[in-house]
Amino acid sequence: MLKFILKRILLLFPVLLGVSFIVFTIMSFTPGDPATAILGTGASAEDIERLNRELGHFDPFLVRYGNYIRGIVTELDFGSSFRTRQPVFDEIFARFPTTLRIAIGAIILAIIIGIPIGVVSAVKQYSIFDITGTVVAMFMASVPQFWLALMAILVFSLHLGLLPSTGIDTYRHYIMPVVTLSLPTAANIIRLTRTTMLEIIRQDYIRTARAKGASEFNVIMKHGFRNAMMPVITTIGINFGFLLGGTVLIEAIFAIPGVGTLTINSIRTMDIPQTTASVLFLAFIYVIMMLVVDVLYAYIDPRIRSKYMTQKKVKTVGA
Amino acid sequence: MNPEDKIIDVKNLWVKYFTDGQEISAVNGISFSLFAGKTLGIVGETGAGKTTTALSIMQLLPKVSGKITDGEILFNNKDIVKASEADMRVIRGAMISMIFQDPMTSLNPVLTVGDQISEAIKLHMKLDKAGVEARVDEILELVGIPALRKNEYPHQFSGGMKQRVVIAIALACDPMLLLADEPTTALDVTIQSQILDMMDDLKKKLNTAIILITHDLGVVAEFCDYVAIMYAGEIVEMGTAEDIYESESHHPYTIGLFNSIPNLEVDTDRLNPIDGLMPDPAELPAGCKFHPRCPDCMEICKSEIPDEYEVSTGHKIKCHLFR
Repeated sequence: MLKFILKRILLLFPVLLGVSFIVFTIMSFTPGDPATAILGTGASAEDIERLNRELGHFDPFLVRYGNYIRGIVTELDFGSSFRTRQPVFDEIFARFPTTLRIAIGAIILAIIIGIPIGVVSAVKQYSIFDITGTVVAMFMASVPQFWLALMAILVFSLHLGLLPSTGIDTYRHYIMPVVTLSLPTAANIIRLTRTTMLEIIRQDYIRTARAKGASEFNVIMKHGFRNAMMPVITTIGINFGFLLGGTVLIEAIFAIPGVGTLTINSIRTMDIPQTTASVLFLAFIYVIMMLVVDVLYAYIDPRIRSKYMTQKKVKTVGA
Repeated sequence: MNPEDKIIDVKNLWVKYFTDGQEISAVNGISFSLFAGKTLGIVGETGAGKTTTALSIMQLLPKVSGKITDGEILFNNKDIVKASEADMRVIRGAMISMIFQDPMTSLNPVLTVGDQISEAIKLHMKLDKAGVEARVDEILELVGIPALRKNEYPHQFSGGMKQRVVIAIALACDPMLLLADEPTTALDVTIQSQILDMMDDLKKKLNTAIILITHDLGVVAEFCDYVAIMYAGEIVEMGTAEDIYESESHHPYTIGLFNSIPNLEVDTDRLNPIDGLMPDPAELPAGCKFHPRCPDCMEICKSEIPDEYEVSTGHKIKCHLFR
């Protein structure tokens, strides 16, 4: 198991190298230059020329990329933001806790909403509850998030005055972003839990469990649910990854200083080091999330667990 | 309990499935009974209603589509068709248990074998933790699996070993009645005889009544005291194993079944199956359900459902030939 995790962590490096190359390339080929971005259009041509030379803007592309990677490998130096002149990760780490809190809140809420509704919908297939659940899930999945967010502001901030519409100072600021973010994920979880459970509760081993005289609750939860967890966990993992990186819209609407807004702003201002670092960071988080999902798989399903273990450990007695 | 008492007494059982607006008659008025320590073999083609009969006794028919429309199933003189779900949960796994057809899919892949066996024990036997574990070990050894393997998962077992686990689950609480639904079909012949020997031992040790569902006439001859031949949801012939294997009078379907067993002493190029196919259970033929395939079909067979005729004590045949 440990060996598997280590192997996966080693795999991180080629992935991140690839991501950095792609982002660096795209940023390099976009029109504009760093000095103009830093000094503004009002600066003199000589100043811009000098700063560009200083920043290595006139070096060949591969040399620039090589220097960037060398900086990271030798000094863990991801560069400094063109805008703030601060090391890029200062800004990311300052903003990440906010994004993380929102993402965690949203994913937990989505799980709390999604899994029970999904399970009950499957167990009581075609009941009123199931039909309502499915329709609500479809609605939540198809309504655009920004619209939902704007409507929430309209109702709860403007008309009722219950919740603050922008900023992120108190826990009450978190309510609307977290809820609006969680709904589409909850909808995904409902649909997937329902489909998987429907398939699982028709399996022979569910009948075996019933034949033992187990209660219906036990049959569903102990025998059904655990088997249905695999695809659900994948979705939760993927969605959590998206939430960590893709809260851009929500952050923009609620004016939340998170990693999403930072990334968008750095792209807009041609802040190459900041953009590359932000994207790298999100890719890193995403890969780690996938690793967590895989480890959870092994925890849930002994068949997968045995694949990760050495042959000797699997075959214990008289196999 | 009085040994004269019938463990199970099925009276005029009718089971229908309702799917896609169709009504499928799976079991059509069957009756049989069984004493403790005896074995009844139910033989018939796929789709004859054998498994449905067993599931009816367990009250585990598919909730939405399957329904017992008429008849009684007396278990220890109590009609379990009318029993509540809570009452059935006490009976299931403790007094009546079932060995399922396919060992590959009948075990939960994410629970250890020990957990799956102990579940029934915890539910039905008043034992402390150590007692439960001891019982799991005991029952595993009984089916020929080293007790040490109880912490392993189903995927670590071979097909034959899995079937033993399924049997261990069924036997965990010393049931009075064991329903074995083709327990050996998925296994190769050597394992098959081991499993059957094991079940025979258990029958002798625990005085369990067994209903063995199979389409293998050889297994029945070896193992069963009574035999019921099922066709299209009816028992067409029933009697002791001697009646079925040695008597002169038989239902034409039984004769057809025996003729379809390849004979080593006669040199033939082809197998000798019964002509025609099982009727569609949604549109069963009028009269005797076997008449379209019957070599001895008479006019009366096409219109009138035959009664059951007792050709000798306990040997009943449902055919107009024996009027």
